[in-house]
Amino acid sequence: MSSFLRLTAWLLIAAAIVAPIAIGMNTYYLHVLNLAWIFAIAALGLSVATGVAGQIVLGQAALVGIGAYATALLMMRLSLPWWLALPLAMALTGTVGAMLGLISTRIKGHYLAIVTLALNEIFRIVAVNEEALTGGPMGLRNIPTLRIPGLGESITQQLYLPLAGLMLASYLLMILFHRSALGRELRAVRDDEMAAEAMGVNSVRVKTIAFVICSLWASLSGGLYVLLVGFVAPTNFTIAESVKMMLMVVIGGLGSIPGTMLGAIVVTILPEALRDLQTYYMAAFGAAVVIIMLVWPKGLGVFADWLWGSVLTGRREPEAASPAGPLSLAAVAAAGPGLAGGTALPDSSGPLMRMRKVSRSFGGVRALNDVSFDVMRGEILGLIGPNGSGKSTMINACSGVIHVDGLIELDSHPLQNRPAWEVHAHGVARIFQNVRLWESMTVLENVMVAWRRIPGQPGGEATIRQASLAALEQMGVRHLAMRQAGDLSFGQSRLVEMARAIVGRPKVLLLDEPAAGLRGGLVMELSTILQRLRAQGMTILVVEHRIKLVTSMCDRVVVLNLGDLIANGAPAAVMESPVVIEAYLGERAGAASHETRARHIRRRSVDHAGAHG
Amino acid sequence: MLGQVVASGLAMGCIYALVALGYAYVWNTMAIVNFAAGEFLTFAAYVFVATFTMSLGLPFWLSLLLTAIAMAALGALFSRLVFARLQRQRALVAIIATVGFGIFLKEMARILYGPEPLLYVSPFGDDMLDFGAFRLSVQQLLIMVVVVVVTAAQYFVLRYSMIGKIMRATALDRETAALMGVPVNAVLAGTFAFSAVLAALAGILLAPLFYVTTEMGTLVGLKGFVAMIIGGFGSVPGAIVGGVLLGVIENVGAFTISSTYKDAIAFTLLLVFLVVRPEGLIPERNADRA
Repeated sequence: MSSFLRLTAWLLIAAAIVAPIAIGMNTYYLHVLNLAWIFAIAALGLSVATGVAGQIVLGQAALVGIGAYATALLMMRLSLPWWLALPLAMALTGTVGAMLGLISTRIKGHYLAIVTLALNEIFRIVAVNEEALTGGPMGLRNIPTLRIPGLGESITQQLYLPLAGLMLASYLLMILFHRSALGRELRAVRDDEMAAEAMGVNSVRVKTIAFVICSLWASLSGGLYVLLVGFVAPTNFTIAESVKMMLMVVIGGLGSIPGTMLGAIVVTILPEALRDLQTYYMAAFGAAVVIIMLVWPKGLGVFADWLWGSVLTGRREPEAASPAGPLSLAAVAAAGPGLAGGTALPDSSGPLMRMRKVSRSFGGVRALNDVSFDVMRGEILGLIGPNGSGKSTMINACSGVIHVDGLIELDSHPLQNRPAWEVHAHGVARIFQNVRLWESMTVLENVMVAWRRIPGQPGGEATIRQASLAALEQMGVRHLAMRQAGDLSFGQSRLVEMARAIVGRPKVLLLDEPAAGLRGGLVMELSTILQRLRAQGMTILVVEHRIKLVTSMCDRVVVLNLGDLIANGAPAAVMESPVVIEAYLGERAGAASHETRARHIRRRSVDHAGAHG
Repeated sequence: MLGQVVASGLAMGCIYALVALGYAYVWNTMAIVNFAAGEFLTFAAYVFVATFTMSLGLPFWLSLLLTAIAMAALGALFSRLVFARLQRQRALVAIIATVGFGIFLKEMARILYGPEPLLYVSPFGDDMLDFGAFRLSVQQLLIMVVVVVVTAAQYFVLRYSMIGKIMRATALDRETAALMGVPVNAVLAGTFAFSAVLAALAGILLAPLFYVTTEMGTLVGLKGFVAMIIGGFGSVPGAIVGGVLLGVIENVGAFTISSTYKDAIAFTLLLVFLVVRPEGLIPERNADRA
């Protein structure tokens, strides 16, 4: 039924696009439509950079302008044919975009907004003042236009269908890009940049690509404009024009590529339809932006996304039946291959990860102070300590999220102060204390982003998908694959995050309080799950508060207090250690028997965990 | 001659400082940048010149007072209706929404007051005062005096009065302030109203120097933001220093390098600062990091 409606809608759209030519619409209206197609292409670039990648660009008109001027000058000064001038202009603008992208990796948010605005203004000033090159305020005239004689009498008629077709094709291309691996990475950076980097997304590369795409569409649009009207002037590329393009993206719903197309059409055509109300038109649009942002952030995207259906979302996984319990880890754990109580350490030979004199200060606080220890291959190592002892800082240092002094090695590769995505590529994956999923993406997409290519093993979309579904299955949440990550409960999110961490078959798994937020009964099952992961060849470093859990699942424990390593050994022995007891209870050892104090620790730690959960 | 260039740069810098101060206050209490600040300036200039001075024929000081009250009311209203709701959103959403509101204000000015530029003659005449090394118009001197007074007043109010303590408490930790009985929403609206008054002052002081047009505030608003970044994001003394410095550098640069590229100088300076010293001259603790 839905697909029938969709087909009808598309037939209507096709008819609406062809009709103006078929009925011989007056040239002026055709011209407005041509401009709508051209603007839609420029807005498409902005939609990718701002909507999909979350990088705010308030100077898109300048990029369109660079494309337009470059196309015009190449044709006029160098007498190049259009089919050479246009790609060259695009290459030039793409280079500018790449530079912008590199800037964007150093500055964010408000700074990026003002910088792009500033660049737009600088472009306008240059275009106005460098008369010898740009023709000054009057611009360039008599630029050769593109003629396709077979398609009608005037240029307007000749270019109408090609422009409409090109616009639709460019949207189709970007919609496919949106669901590709790179598109997923862009969205991950937008939703949570730190989590994206820690899960293997090279944010520098990805942002640069977003800006290059943004400027390529901008310059294509600028070049087409020149080929259509044969004229450029600085007034076509002011900040107001940039804001107008942002308007198209916003009305179409930030993040929705199909929506941008509708937004562009509305923003270009509506003022012509409302000519009598011209005075109020811009004011109304200004107000509309505010209102849409506040109450209807999805904008026209709601309708447009539906129109593209599965072209946009990709194939949906059939809704798998949810397992018996709400999250029955036990069933999964029991069904899992080759591990019941498996404490055998596969290939347990020597240290896998070595920390040497790792230090880090925040302001005057020394969060880590010359901490050195090894993580043995195939072990489950517990990292415990009172609040503020530096546990999370250690996890952050090992995953490349923060910079430290000292040495962190994995298989003798130095990892300290490397970008987080490189650390991930070496085989270190993590979960965060407060669950950081990419909330606008589906659960399956969340896991797919973190997939890691292991040399010599097959890649490709189908493989990634299968591996991701398998990882979800292993955590007992495969039935959630098609749900949006932002809709999950905390416990479900935690399990999805675990699946995301293990999908790349990491050598080391860093778990920052994995039990927090899990239902009481599940906490102990977690231990089984970790044993099983270890049997699959993962080494696990786990921060945990519940001493019972630590003693049941860890082979060895490292204790931190106020940034210092104070104990290192088998769980039972460490619990009895006077230094550890003092760190937890803050009393001098010797005042009571070890046994009583060890009991205290257990009770305190459990209270502690309760407060966190 | 250079003395003259510096002196008139100082006057313009004082205007930037006023706008930058508005950004800093709003950033400190709400963690949002109001990209409509330039349009608040434009709108205030129209209200002052067209409504109170030309239509109603009120004297300068009364017009100024009434404009300040009107803009404060508009600011408070906007803060309650729109700004407060943007707080929970990503920076991207807040930026776009305030840009949208800027367009709305600018267009409203055009609809209400027409597209023709308005000429406003300063009631203090256009005499030049001779200071030896340089000369200043009465208007330029007035700008500097107003900015010094405003700067001193806001310092003493913020430092010593109860209102100041409440504002600082809200800026530091809103939840705790609310639990301690601070009417947080009123404080936020008040802060925004104050920043609107600062923009209004800038608009009123600029009116005799330029024609009043719908575009007059756009660049001044952007440069005020540049001034705040140069001074230190969210830093109150930084906003003043950054504003004055930007005005002087811009004027000197226009004089020595190129007057056609005057407007580009401010933005080039911004790029230089973002590379060399992104935290600004007087860094603020809870700044937005570049």
